[in-house]
Amino acid sequence: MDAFERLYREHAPAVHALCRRMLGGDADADELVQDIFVRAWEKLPTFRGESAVGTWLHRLGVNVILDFMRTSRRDPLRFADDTAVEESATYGAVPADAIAAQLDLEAALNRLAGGARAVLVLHDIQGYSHEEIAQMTGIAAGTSRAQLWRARRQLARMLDP
Amino acid sequence: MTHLSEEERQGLADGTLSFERAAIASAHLATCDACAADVNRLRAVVRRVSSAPASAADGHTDELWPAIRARIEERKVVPLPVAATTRPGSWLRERRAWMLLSAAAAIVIAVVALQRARTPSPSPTAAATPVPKVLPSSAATVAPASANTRISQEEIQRLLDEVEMQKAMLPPGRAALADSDARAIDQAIAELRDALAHDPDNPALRQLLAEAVQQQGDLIKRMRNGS
Amino acid sequence: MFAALAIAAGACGTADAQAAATLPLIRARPLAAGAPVKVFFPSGRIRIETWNRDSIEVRGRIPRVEQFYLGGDRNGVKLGVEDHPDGSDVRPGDIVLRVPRGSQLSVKTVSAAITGRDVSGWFYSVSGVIRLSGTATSVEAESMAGDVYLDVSVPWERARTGGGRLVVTGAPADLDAATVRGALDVQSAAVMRGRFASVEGDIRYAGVPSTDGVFEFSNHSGAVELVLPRAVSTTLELSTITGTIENGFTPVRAAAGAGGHGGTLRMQLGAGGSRMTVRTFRGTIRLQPR
Repeated sequence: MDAFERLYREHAPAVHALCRRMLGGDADADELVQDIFVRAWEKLPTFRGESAVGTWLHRLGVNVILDFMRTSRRDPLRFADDTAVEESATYGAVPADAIAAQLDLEAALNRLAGGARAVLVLHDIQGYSHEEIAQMTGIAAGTSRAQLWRARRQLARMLDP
Repeated sequence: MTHLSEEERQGLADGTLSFERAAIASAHLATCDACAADVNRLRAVVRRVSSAPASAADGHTDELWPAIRARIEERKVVPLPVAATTRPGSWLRERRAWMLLSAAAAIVIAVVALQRARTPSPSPTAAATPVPKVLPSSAATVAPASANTRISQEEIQRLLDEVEMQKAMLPPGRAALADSDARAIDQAIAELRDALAHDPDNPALRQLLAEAVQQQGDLIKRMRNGS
Repeated sequence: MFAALAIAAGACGTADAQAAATLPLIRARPLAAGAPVKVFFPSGRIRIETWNRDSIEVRGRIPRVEQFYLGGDRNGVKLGVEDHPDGSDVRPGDIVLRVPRGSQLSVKTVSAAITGRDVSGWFYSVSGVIRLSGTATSVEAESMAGDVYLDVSVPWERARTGGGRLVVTGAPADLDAATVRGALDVQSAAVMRGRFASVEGDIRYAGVPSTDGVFEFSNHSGAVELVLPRAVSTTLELSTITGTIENGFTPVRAAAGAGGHGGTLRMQLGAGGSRMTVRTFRGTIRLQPR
């Protein structure tokens, strides 16, 4: 148990942050962290060192979170395959919903639309490609790309109005 | 003037645009302040998000560990001893773990011995005082031999799996050090199990297997400490 | 003469460079007797001694690029050199640690050699050599690949190495010593209860088994050699599955095992008393008079 506890203490904060960001808040994050590490304990004998343990753990964590999102009806990725690209018309102008004060990043992430937030976290923070995101979530790679751009635009408005 | 598309702006911001398209798009930025400002804004967002701290070091997740441990313990075949919170005195914990493993192996020995008629041991060729047989000291619950053989095999497999897990968590140099030991022990266990398959009544073989299993457990502890 | 001057100048330059790479270290703080002391010192050399003061003192030299820490209070301290997050090797340092008698030590190194006198606790190294001597209340020493030398008078002692050599002298009353591939060498007349094991390393015990002492030796393919006084009193049970038993005490030969392989030899020397059990799979068992 010593080594697994050390693994937990080293990686749990990052896994917790992943849960919070994917879910858009603290609710359910604690429970999901527990689910992830119990699953990791069960799956550890199958880990053969093909990647760093932390990478393997995060991948497992993402799968657990996505499963949770699907079964808890909080699946923001259940939208029609939409490859329309949001053309930005905001450069040089202040949008109507601009927020006066600059939000910190975490608060801004929480305010994003669910699907856009999930893709942004998976792509820009966790480093998955659109193809990997498509495989994990069941959406098309093009949709993943469109959601990512939407998320960045929304963040840009909130962080630097 | 035709401005850059969203794909081009996002691609410039996160560096995913192809070399040729990036060159063309960058050339446009040099002549278009509006596009340049927008791409810079997007770059700032990408930079800020991708450098988001991995975690908040607030110690909150430490509070979740007891519940996780409890859930894991429920799933185990052989529960581990209670973990000590400080290192001094943990030799007692390690010693209990050693005794637990020895007891598990000894159960196999004791039950198989009880189940089958013992063959008389060869009479000593020296004219000496009869030497009493030494029975395993931690024989406990009597259970069908087949069930306890299963426990022994499962325990061995669990230990083998844990050796692999521990090796995966070691830095490469240390993993190599552990590898030679692991191979030596694996080979010994394989030879003993093979010999036991042909001579299951042999108490010395069973004791040797228990010792090899103990060595496996010790190696796991050494690797845990080295990670 | 010019050549000599050039050599001297070169030596000074080298020495200056070396001196410039490390910084002197001296730290001290109050520490109660019997308090725990946790040490992580990856590389170099650490020597530990006890003294009659209610304080802990660390002296030595640490590479200037490495980070030393010392934290805690009089009820327990932690000290050492920080590991590198990227896993790169920590440069070697050299420290002497003085702790109150009765301190419970936990010392872990990667390649640093550990030397301790009159110290108790847990001592672990990945590849460093561990040498402990003096008197202690309990000792646990393990090295994955380094050698371990124990010369301690102690009620309870546990020692493990993988490929390294394990040498036990001194006066441990209850001794549990095992290697995987390294040689295990025990020379002690004080062991009351001993467990000695290896997988491939040779085990050698030279001592005077005490009355009522209980000794168990187990080896898979390495040899087990017992070197005992001619006038020893002990009951021996020696068995090997496919190896050989060499009896240098009496003309008695071991009874062959099943299929003519291996053998078993049970006999009493002197008045019996202590009990020595040796089991190997194919390692040779040797009984030799001293």
